[in-house]
Amino acid sequence: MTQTLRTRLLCLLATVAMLLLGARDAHAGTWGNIRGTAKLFNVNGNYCPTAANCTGSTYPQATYGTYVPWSNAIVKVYDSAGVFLGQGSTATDGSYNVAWSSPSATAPSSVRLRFFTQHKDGRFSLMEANGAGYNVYTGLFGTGHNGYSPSDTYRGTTYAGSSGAPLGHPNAYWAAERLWRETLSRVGVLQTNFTGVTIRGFQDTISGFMPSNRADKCETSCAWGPTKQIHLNTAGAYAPQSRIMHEMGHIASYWLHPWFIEYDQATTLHYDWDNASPDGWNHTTAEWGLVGFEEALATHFGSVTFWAANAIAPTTCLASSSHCYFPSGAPIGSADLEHTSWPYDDPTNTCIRTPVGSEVVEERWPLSHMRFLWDVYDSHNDADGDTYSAANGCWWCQFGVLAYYGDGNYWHEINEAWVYFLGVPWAFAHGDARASTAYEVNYAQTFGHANELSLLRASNCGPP
Amino acid sequence: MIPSRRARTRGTSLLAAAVLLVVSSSGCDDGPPPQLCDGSNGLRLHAYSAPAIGRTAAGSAVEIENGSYTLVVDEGCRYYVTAPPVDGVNARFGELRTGILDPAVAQQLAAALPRGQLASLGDCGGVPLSDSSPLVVADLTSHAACAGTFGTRFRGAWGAVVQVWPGLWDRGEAMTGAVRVAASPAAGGPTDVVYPWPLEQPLAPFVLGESDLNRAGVSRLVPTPADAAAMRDLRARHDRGELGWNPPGSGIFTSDGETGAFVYLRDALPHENENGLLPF
Repeated sequence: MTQTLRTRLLCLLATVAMLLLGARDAHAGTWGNIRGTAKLFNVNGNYCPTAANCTGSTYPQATYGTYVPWSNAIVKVYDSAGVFLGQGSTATDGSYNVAWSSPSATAPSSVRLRFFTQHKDGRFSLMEANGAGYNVYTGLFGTGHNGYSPSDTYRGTTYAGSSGAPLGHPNAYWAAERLWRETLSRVGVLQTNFTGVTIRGFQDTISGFMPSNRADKCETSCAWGPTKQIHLNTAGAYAPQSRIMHEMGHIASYWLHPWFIEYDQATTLHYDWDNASPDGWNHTTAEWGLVGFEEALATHFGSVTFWAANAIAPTTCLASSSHCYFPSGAPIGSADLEHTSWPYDDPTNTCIRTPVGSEVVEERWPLSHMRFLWDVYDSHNDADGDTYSAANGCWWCQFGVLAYYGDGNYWHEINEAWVYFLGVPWAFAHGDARASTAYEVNYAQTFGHANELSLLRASNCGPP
Repeated sequence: MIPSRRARTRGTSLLAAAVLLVVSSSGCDDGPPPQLCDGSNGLRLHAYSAPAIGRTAAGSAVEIENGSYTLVVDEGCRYYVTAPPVDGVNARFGELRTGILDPAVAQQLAAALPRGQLASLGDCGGVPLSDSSPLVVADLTSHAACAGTFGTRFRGAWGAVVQVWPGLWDRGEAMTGAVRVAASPAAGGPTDVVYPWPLEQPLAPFVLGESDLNRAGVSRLVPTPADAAAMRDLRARHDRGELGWNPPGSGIFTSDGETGAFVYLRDALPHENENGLLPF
């Protein structure tokens, strides 16, 4: 083939290619993709400080006060006029590769990315208090699109927040995403049911969010299972175990096995065991079993997200946006998951059983339920000398036990708290129902280890 | 002798007739509702939100022990309020303002919250939201509390309070009297933001022991005007972030050189007892 012929052939191919590209431009516009990584400045509390025994910690202090991946979140591309051009998501390591396209024959002169606090698979969406989609966005940048071939733009790393100005929504998202990915997603029934959870924050009062006749004010955060809604309060951003992880735990608890929650129990069952004062719960208040266990289970999901089963000194913080250890590294007693009684320096581990009215009946503390759940989860005997463990090689099995409860209202079934008449629940009858005792029985029926379960509950002050 | 059933029935009927006669002669009109503030001694009304102490930061009970969002009215129609519980306004718990109710507002509150009959407003209904804080309206002899779920009567009563609340806050004056202070041990968190302790007396006595960290009524009174003003100034500096950022809700990280602690404070109320708690 002569040089002239080769040249003519190449020119012909080039002309055909340009015609094809021209036709494509005329019909399909321009397109491309943008790659990069998104990170957020993490100042979530509840980490394990260096002074403590951090065996088994999945959130050590080294991860605090630094940039961490903005994982599995929705990313959208817009042009300079705010026209939506495309959507993708970050991966677990924060990396993304998002495609965009424009119907225009000419490429947009500049675009921007918006990183949302919404899970890529629609598991949960953390919105602004008014319901708008919270996002962090980049400045405008060019795509380098040449008008003929798709562009491939590398944006490097986008950093959200800084040490002097951390961002609440990305921080809470980080904890929520970890809770879903590392714990809740392991449960089959939650793969089906835990979707479309709507979270709003951070305000103490959010009018019109929760269903009719329910509170619009909630200064320690709230959840409502049936509608999968969570209200995060003003200070709800940096205290993950007691706020976003705990409230998502309530949603998970309900959707593991929805129970009859709508009954008017307000006049029969308060948060208080003694029904004396109109207050809420904390780790060391005496509660009815139903309430104490529900709060403990909601907390437990976050505990096992931050601590592996081999943890020696795990804690769960009640409200702290810091951590729950003394400077010496010893866990604060009311946050200590491992010891079987509190005060834990009591060598006899004697549970406090003073009369009901004083609200210090330790067996009814949510902390006692939490410690029972922890001991079922962990893979070793307690450090204080108890010699039983329910570890059975399936440490995540315990998360979904509620799904195995019977559907009725007989003992240890999901609606055992209520009395039915002609198949309809009509009276609240059993304040200690659906609690640790029912959990113990159902776990043993499903996975065995009946003796161990019984001993573990007894050794944690025997929560009902 | 035991009267026969017929005789007892007849006796009951006569008694009922007599009661009816008395009632009808006195009329069934209850008259105008009692005045909210009649000048006699004591508190008249306390409307507040009661979050779980312990669900807030350890040591911070002093700020919320009489209600996080709280409205107090005394016998002279003097009121004390936190910032109102409305969208977009987040109370700095423990900071109150005071003023005098104008007659129209006093009448509005008296009508919505009938003295001695507040229990009749407690039509809560339904299961509370998980973790919701009870809302409470209380006077000396009656109260109603609903946690996260409200019926028509309670919603109406609480709504009347919330309606006037922003105006009371806006017109109120900053408190100038004593403050109550408590502190929790610094747990060794990585914070570089340390505000100097402003009082001559050491910080250590204000630091609560572990068993008191989640209890109400364990704070210390700072009564002298100069010291109280110094503590309020500390709070204002922290609110402005003068020395930098601390996680919201974590208190003011303070040190006197010997002791480091997270400090919490609240404007003291005239009617609180020696432990800082209101009578209802």
